[in-house]
Amino acid sequence: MADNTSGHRSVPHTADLRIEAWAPTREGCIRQAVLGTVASFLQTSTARPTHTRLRRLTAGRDDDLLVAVLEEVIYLLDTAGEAPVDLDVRRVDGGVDVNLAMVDASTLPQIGAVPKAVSLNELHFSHGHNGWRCSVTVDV
Amino acid sequence: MKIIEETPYRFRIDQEGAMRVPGIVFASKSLLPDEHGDMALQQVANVATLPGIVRASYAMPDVHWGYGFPIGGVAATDINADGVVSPGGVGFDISCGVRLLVSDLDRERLQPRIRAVMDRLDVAIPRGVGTKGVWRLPDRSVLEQVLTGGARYAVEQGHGVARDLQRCEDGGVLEGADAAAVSDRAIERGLGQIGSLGSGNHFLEVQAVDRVYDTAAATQMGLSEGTVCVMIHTGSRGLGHQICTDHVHQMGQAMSRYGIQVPDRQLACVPVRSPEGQAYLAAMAAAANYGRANRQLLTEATRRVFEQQTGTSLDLLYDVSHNLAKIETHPVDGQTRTVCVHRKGATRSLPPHHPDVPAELAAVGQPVLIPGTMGTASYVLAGVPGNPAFFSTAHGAGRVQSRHQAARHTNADALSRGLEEAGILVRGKSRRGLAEEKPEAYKDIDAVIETSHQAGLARKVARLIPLGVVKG
Repeated sequence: MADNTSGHRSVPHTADLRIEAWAPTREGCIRQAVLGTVASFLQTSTARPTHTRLRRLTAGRDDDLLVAVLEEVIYLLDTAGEAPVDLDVRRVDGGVDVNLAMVDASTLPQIGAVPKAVSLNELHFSHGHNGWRCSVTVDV
Repeated sequence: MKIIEETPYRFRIDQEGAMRVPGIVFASKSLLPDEHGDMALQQVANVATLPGIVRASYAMPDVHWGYGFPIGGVAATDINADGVVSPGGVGFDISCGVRLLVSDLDRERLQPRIRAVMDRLDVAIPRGVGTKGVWRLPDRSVLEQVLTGGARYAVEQGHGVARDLQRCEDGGVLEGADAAAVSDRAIERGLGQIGSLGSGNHFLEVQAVDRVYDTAAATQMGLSEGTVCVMIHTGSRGLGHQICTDHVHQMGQAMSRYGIQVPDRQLACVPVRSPEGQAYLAAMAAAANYGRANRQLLTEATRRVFEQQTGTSLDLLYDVSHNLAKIETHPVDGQTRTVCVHRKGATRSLPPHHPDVPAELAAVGQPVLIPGTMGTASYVLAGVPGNPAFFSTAHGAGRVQSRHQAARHTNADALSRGLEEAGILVRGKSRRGLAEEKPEAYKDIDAVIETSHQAGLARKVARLIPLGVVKG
């Protein structure tokens, strides 16, 4: 769960869903962005994961790495009908290993429009005095 | 940014900086996006910087903040002058569009059966997270035939009648599609979703004609006051989104080879005639065909419900996309040029006697189908001669509130009850999804249509009001 230094929220955007996330580490910030995206359309508070999926994502830039992780979540949602209710993100050479705790998405109450893609418009992911912050627009 | 009022329905953004052409916004003062809270006008200016753009970067009356292109944006590039194609100018939901089915029922005759019809549609129309479409494709090879054959392939397989294809843009199949240009990830996302509505602003509505503005055109279209219709709004589902995603990434890497710089990564583009440009157009056409087949399958499911519950059939008036890029010829600076017309959240609007208008409708022009919002009106318009925006007009009401803002102070149950009291039966999959789509989250559709009419983009034929809404 999020502590004072990490978390996520959605912010207004007339086109679609805009997620902001923050955490002390790059990997923690990616984790929060995924949790924020899933929380935008599924009621996950009572969900119990049934299995895990491990994915390695790589990219040349931090913001592209964030996009790659979110795109993988959307891909799994569309092809396997599963969504992560928690995840562990670990740094590896050139990217991250993401261990996703999955549930069958159709078993959870749907509370919003389903994410379909990640936009590069106004994509931000950077490190500052207070840790890492990102903002990303998700097409629904 | 300098915005000049040219007429009460047309504003100009003067060319400055890297803009190659001016911006033209078809809007009344009240519809003009708020420069501070909505980045749409800046996005109109950004689009004006694209290589090869001709005439102007246009914004339709429903324009609002998108990413890269504004939603409600139209831009044409000269393909023989290194003009570019940009996946961001089409949007993620390639060939998202609208079709309108017309019944021989009037509102009074449907009334005793409307609740049963909506309950059956609630079951028959797949939507929401994790659902499978109504067409279970056995394997990839069949999907590849959908990608090249579109609605025509669906009809050939028994999911419609030949007349349907005469009433689809491009006869239901966009030429130039290449299934081999579609990534494995896109194929995997597309396999299970054909014949499904999706979520967000997609819907299926049972409607009735509330008012006729042009009796001759309406009669030709089979519309009169009280006529019951069904409007379907959906697109190419996960497959189209994946194709857009793939090609934005690929073009982002390729742009530097063509010396192209853009002010926004989502505007990634390459020359139409480049290998990357051709690959995108081949994949985009495949997604367009998927979208058209998707709407065809939902039509079949809807027809079944109407036949079972009312004993009546549904004829297709027209099917038209509002997210697409097409190679067309238009006069530019006194010469006929071959241009790539991007319509993102904009509906093609061909005038009477244009060769691409169905023969039976030649005298009235192409039907333009513009959905409103849940609980408000939708419209049928017709194309007019002299449309200055490459024969394009609006595509919907246009959001003024984010989903976040719309949902925050809205009780979905109260919203649903209020609509039912107003005579509109709502069948939604998600309470929050309903709240996000509340009518107040959008511009006034009547104002958008009036501006389209007054600005010479299309003319009003009929106004439709909802009787029942199926939403994801």
